[in-house]
This record gives sequence, C-alpha cells and structure tokens, in this order.
Amino acid sequence: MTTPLRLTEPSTPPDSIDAWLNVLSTLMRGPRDEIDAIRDELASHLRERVRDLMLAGVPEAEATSRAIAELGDAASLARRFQDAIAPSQRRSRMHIAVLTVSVAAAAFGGATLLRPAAPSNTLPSQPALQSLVTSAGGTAAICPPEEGQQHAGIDLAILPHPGPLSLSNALSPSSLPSAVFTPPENDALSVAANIQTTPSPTVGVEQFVKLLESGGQPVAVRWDLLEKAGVSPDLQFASPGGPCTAADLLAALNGSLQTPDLLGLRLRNGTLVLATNEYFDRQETGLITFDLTPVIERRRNSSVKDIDPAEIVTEAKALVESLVYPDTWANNGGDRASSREFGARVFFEAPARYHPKIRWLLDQLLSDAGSTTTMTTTRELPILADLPLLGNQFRSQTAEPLRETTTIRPSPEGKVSVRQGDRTTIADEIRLDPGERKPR
Amino acid sequence: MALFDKSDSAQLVVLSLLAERAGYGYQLTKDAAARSNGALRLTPGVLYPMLKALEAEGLITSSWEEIKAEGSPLDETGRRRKWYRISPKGRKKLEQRIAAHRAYTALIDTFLGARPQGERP
Repeated sequence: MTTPLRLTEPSTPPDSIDAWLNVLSTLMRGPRDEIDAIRDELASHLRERVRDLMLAGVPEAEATSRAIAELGDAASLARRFQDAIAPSQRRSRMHIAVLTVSVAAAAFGGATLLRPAAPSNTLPSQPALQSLVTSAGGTAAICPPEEGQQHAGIDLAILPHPGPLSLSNALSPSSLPSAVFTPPENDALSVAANIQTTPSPTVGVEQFVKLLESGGQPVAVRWDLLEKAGVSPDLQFASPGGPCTAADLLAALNGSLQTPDLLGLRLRNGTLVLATNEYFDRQETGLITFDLTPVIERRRNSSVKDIDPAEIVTEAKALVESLVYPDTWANNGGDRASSREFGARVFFEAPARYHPKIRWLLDQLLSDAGSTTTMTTTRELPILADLPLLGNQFRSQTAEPLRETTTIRPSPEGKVSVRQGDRTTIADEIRLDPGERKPR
Repeated sequence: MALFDKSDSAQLVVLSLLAERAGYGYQLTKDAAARSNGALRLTPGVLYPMLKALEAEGLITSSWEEIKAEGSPLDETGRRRKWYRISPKGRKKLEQRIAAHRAYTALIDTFLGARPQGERP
C-alpha cells in the first residue's frame, strides 16, 4: 500500500524569506498597514512557490532561493510598489527615461534627437505613432482624444527596446540614428569571447564554468554570491544555439535570470573571476566629475528666457540617473551610485562600468557643436564590498523630475506635441535612443 | 519560457484573466503560463506592483482569505491570501483595451497579408 502524497507547506516561512521581506519592508515608504498587506501577499506567494518547487523535487533551500530570486531585487520591487501606490508616479522609470531624453534634448536645443521640420504631409497618424513605439519594443495605450482634437494621443509606455528608432524611421526607412552608445568590452569579456564552443540547447552553470576553465586562464567563482542571488551550479539555462563563445553564454545566462545583468566577469591578476555585478560594482566605485559650463552656455544662448544654470545641471544629472542603470542611483532608491552638483560641476560616484555611458550621454548634449564636455578629474574611491542593502535609509529626498504620465499627440504641420505634466514640448521628431540593453 | 514583463500587455492579460474569474497573484502567474503553454510568464516582481496599481485605479477590487495549514490549532492565525476581482470600471477599460489591441493587429495584418504564398517572413 502506498501512502498518498500530501500537499504540505513549510509550517513557518524559511528565515531567508522573512529576512528578504524585512529588507523589502524597510525599503518601502507609506502607511504601515499598506506595507504589511504587501508583505503578507508576497509571503503567501513565496510559500506557495516554494511548496510547488519542492513538490517538483527541488530541495527547500534552493526552492526558497529561487522563489526569492524570481521576485527580483528588493530595492527595485520596493520602488515599483511605491510607483503603484503614488498615482502620479505610476509609469515605470524606463518610460520616463526615454521621454526624458526627448524633453531634455528639446530643452537643450540638441539636434541629436530633434531634427529640422518634417515635411508637412507627414502628419503622424495615431497608428503610426503607436506602431513606432511597438516596433521599438515598447507598448503604447491609446488615450481618448482631447476635446476639439481630431487625433487621439498615445499614453506612452515604453520599455527597454532593441535599438533606436525615429518617427521618420516609421515614415522613411532610410533615416539613421545620429548617435548610438556602444559599451566598451572589458578584458575578461575579451578573453571569454575567444573561448569557442558548440553547446547543447541547455547548459548548466557549472558546465559554463568548465568552459571558462578550458580557455587556459585560472577561473575563480564566487559561488557564495551566486547562490545568494539564486544561481546554483546546477541551474540550467538555454544556450544561444549553434557555435558561440563563452561571452555569448554569459549573456544567455544573464538573459535567463530575473535580475537584468546580474552576473559579471573580470580579469584579476590573470584569473577570470565570475561573480555578481553588484559585487564588482561595489569594488570598482569611482568618482568622476564633469564641468558642464559649455552645456549651460549653449542652453542659455538657445533659449529666449533666462534659465538658472543650476536648473540645467540638475536636468543633466536627472538625465544620467534615468538612463544609466536607473535603479541603482541613490535618488532612485538604489545604493550603488550617487551624484552631487556644485555650481556648473556635477560629481558622480558610480561603478567604473557606468563611466563611459555617463560621459557619452553628456557628450550628446553638445555633439552637434563639435565640442565635448571635459572630464577633468577621476579619483578612485574604493569602498567596502558586500555592504548590506541599506540604500533607502540614506536616500535623498530630492523630488524626481519628469516622473509623470507622458502624452504624445500629433500636432499640425507634421510636428509632435510631447506633454508631461503641465509642460509641453513641440518636437519635429521623436526618436527612442537605446536605453539599458542586455547583451544577447 | 519567454520573459514577459511589458506592463501594458501584462495588464491586458491580467484584466482578461480576472474577467473570467477571481484570482490571486500566484494563481494568475500559473494561469498565464498554462494558458500560453508556458510561452508567457508574468514575473511576480512586475505582477504584484501592477495589481496594486490596478487596484489604486479602481479597475480591480480585492479581499483577503485566511489560509490555515492542515491540522493547525483553531486559534492559530494562518497566512493571508489576497483575492482580486475585476470591477465594472475594469471591465469597461478591458473592452477599450481589447478594441485598441484588435485595431492595431488588424492594421499590421494589412501589411502581413500581402506576402506571396510560400514566402517565409
């Protein structure tokens, strides 16, 4: 006689679930009962998920790690809940990030994003705008038309997308982006890119590590950090298919995980080190500063009204914080990067891998003038690795600009009106420049 | 399994599932995966904040159910499960979203339909 299998749940939540929920609760702001309700709902989800994974044969400790990893980074989740609770902040940061580029570029008079007037017969239709957003990997919801308006607008909801597109791309396929950021490759990724393989359709993490070792370089894996992030040696992921390199497999592994860009590779004293990017980021944090005087001058010269230079510096800072690994900035609830301004100068304390992108972004504000911002000083400020997640406790209370629902509407003469809150910008063209892109 | 976290499409899926029957978060993730043969995954990190936002907008309503482990004492507090139901406002919104979605796919279909037979996309 066989004993029937009983569906049971762990009688008490595992400590790691409680600990994770405690971190999330600490990171959240708002009425206590609301935070407690969110905590109860997620606790219920985690317990059911752990139970299902255990029934599928996964050991309890691994099931717990996986269930937690599926919910993602606590700081990001806390922020998403915060956005959901505050009606005016309901759109995701990436939505705003893209529009921030458009609006900021318009404000800076940058020809990078806004081009000379489109022919008057190219009045963009609602489907054209919507398909533009959709083809860029975003999603767009239709707003009802405003009174007296012929066209409905599009309540933009743009998510990370595969590449730049412009309205003129939708209308004239020949138009090309004026600038695209290409991240520099580090030494470790160059080594990994030279390790060739033809993997099976699914690959285990341990198998991937063995492949790295086959390159002839000693390999060190921070399994403690990987396991804490829910990546166990026997975790399987889908390979890209066909011949590829170890760098491609790392990208495939990262792509299969809930947290974007979770794992990184570095070359340290001839040893390839595989660990979490958070770990590397904390070791590689450095201070960079930019003198934005040329940007301020250009902006003030192109504007009819007198603009406070401090406002321009703040806008440039917000542009960086909304496009370079947005979730990790102190002003956005993260704990890996922060910024300060002093007169025309802005200081960023951020992981080294952010620096090229920050520089590229600020350079775009002047790119059409053939000038670049001056990065005057770089001083490495190593900080202790593996700091606990305490970002929000020290979070700046600075109001976040441009975090409102954005509406794009066709306007006469082929132009587009971008409205954010009570601010409207008339643009000749909207282009979605590449935001954060996961390597694939 | 493809990652599915495009928030507007995810909202459409969640509202559609709740229009059929009341559901709770974990059940919604399983229903979405089952309905799509695993092709679609509502990631919990996106789903729960989205449910919060839909509730704040009045598109869905919620209630709590207490779940007790089998054999636990009567006076012991169990864990709480949050059930969601679509509201009349949510149904109306869903109808609008479905109409917009169909109009969009019909528009794209006008381009795809012109391909000669046998030609691969």
